[in-house]
Amino acid sequence: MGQSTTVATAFTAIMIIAGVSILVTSTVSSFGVISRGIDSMVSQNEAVLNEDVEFTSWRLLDSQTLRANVTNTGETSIRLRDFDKMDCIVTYTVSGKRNSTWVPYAQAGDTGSHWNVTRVFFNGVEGDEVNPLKLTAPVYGSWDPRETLEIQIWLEESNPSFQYVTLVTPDAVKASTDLVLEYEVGVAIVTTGGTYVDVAHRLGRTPKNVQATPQADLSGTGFWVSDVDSSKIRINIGSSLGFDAPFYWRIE
Amino acid sequence: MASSVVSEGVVLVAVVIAAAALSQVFLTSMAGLEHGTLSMTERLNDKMKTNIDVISAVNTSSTTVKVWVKNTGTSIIPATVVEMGDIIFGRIGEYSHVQYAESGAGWDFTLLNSDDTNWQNSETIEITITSASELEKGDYYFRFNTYNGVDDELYFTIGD
Repeated sequence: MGQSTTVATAFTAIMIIAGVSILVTSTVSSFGVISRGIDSMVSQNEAVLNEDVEFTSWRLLDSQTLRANVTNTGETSIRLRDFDKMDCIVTYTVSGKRNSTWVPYAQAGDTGSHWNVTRVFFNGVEGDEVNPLKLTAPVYGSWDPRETLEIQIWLEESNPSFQYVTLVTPDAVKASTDLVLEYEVGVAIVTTGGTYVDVAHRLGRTPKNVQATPQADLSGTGFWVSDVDSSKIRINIGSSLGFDAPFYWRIE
Repeated sequence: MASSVVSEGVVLVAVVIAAAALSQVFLTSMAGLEHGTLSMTERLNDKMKTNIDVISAVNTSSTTVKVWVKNTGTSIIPATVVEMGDIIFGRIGEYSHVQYAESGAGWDFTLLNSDDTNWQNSETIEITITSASELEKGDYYFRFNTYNGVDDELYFTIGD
């Protein structure tokens, strides 16, 4: 075998080794990159699978403020510092015109529409044991499984009629509540000398059932309900009395 | 003898040159292959890290629809790249591609809960679609495609 054959063989061997090493390097590198991508997808899906939130109740604090209780029914904790990555979308009507708006989180409050957390409950008792929340600056803590948050939503629109609220966690898990009142109760007074009292309500529909119960003896004077519509009811008495006549009322 | 040595030398030089040329071509090809593989892998990785979720859509006027879309992936998308996304929108069966437009008919967006100009993990954009004509009542379809082909869609209704 001549020198040329030896050199050719050596070159061939070097080329094969170089080629194989390039292929191995790029393949290993590709696996590493894909592995990181899969890790990212798995951790994202894991968070979504284990995360769940649910509205449990709500009430109007005033015409612009809604308070709602939301319970963490999943198995993940959401840090208070990540609440600005949550979405709160409120649908409401003003003068019959429907509108929807994305409301920003502002724990310290704001002059514009905003929402924040007012209290936290665990097992029906105010306060939490695990990763306790501190709601004033500097805020910290986490919303842990089984804990219920009382959130407050304030809209800058005057006299909005809240219709629907959607809360979305940082991992895009959604909870919604329709904000429909099933019933409403209260006390109304037919004042001295009067024969009726109009009671405004917020059911947003004509009640299916109306109950009125006098708190005092009406001395045989009859009473009844009339003018029931989607915004009010009227409690009447047969003749005027010489004293205030309070009535318990309940509509549904 | 001397001629044999010379011819052996000539063949040796020829073999060296041929082998060098061949190895150059071979290694260049391999490097190109490696570059292509890595580039493809990077794109795949980028796509795997990108994920979006269309949260909600609602019409806010007879010609305007607002859609909220959340970045649920780990990729950081600059606002200028968000503009490169595609929106398919319209009544079911009649939807079409909507052009990005900062004013007039088309779609535009606002970064909602972001401290900078990047659309990052868990942040939401509010997309406003402005139609040139009045939107009829009915069922609608919305799809947002990111610059790298990741998409999410939503069916919603425009009613009274």
